[in-house]
Amino acid sequence: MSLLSVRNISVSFGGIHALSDISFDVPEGVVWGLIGPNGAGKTTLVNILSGLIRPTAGSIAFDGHEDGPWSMSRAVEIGIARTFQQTRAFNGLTVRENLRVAAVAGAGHALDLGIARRLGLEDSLDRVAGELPYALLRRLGVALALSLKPRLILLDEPAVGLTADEIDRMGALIRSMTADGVTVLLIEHNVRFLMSIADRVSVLDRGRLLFEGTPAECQRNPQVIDVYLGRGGEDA
Amino acid sequence: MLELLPQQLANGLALGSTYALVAMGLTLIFGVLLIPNFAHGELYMLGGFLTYAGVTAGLDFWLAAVLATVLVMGLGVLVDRITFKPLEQASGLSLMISALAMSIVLQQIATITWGTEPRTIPNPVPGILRTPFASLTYHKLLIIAVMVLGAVGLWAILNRTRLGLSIRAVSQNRDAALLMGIEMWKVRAATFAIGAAFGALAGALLGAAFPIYPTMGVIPVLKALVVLVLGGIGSIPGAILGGLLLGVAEVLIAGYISSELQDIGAFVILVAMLLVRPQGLFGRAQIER
Repeated sequence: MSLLSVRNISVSFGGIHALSDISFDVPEGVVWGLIGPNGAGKTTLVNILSGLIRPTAGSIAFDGHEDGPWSMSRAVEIGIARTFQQTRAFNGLTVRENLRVAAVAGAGHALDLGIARRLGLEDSLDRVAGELPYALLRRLGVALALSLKPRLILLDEPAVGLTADEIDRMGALIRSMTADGVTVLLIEHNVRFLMSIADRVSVLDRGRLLFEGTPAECQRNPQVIDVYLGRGGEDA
Repeated sequence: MLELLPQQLANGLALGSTYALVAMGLTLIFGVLLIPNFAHGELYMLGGFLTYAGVTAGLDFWLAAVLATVLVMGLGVLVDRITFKPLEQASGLSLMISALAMSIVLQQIATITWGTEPRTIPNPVPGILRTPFASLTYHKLLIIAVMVLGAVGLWAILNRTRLGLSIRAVSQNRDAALLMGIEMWKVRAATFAIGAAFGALAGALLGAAFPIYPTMGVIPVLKALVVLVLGGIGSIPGAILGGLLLGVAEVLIAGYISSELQDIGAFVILVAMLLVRPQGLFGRAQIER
């Protein structure tokens, strides 16, 4: 049975169809990749799943909850967390306080400093988030999402702007999430990185679902190559 | 003249404590929700009137003051629902106009209910504490004590409770707080209730020494604005220190220069502060959102 079931989701902004009739099913415990050119609707889809925006039509079911789409607080309550391309943290609070907000105020359980250790933030707990260097701020974003103890984590380009070593580290972290029973929906522009860790891949193009399959199938699919991978093979 | 200084400072701290009490509620609501709640002065006024109503109905002063505070807390939440919540997407100017409208509505309700004749409550703590340096009425000591307890209580709520953590998170970054699953309506209600409690407490206590009338909240809210500019808008320590500084400055100006200059002094301080350090003592410089 699938953990997340997206049914016929459409959304339009002022007459422009950002997403048209999107349906897919994500089983539990996988890394599900989501790729597509700029403006394909990837972030819009993640915004809908996390309650940031409401779709024009369609329904979502998650982990036995059939009432989606839902509000942000409801999304957190039923176990969906997300990160952003630009980490949204509490810049005036320390890393420790940031994690407390997520764990205690948000999800309603005790602060788990094991998450800080997993993300290499244990030496930065008393630093103010607004003064963290870029890579640490990115990791704080992931730590905040994990502190909500989600069953599904939506990662919006976690590798962007990271060095090769940091990308390897992020990849290992994402794989370790699934080992802990957290399902991952991963938006990534870095195709090589995504293909190396995803179990399955969906390709979006101009608001439509173009393809769904394994990374190997994806890389051989003529349509995908045409709209996306084939354009000089660049990572964009 | 100088031998009067300890007495002047004591009087200034007592006056400043009332400013700090009013200002803490105002600055909490602005700091967390970016809402300029000018109707705060009317919550202060209703704290006084409802305490008066309770005492007139035969209740003990303390019980009346507590009941009045609880009622005004609920009213604070209602004021938010009616005055500010429908304007969530509107500009700061619309919020200010709406707040002023609510001030007038509440003043008129008080006028219809109790009339414009000033009312008084018998002082629950008569008497004077005399020390070699200064003498203070027990009433003034009570105000200082309630301000200190209020500040400690607020600190404890903000730093030691789950609700307080949510409030601080929203004040830091509302979008990020929502993403953490924090429910905005709870934070709004709690912030308005706590803010209103400070206004109501100040009104109840001041009503025991000064007349209670429908427009009694206008000047305290203007003074609280001066306090906010002094201490830094949105800063709780700033509201306390700014309130005490303003109280002491006013008493010193009245004592050593002229009592007619007392109120002018407050606003001269306001203008000077805006020129020299517009972000206030504890404020962070920031560009309007």
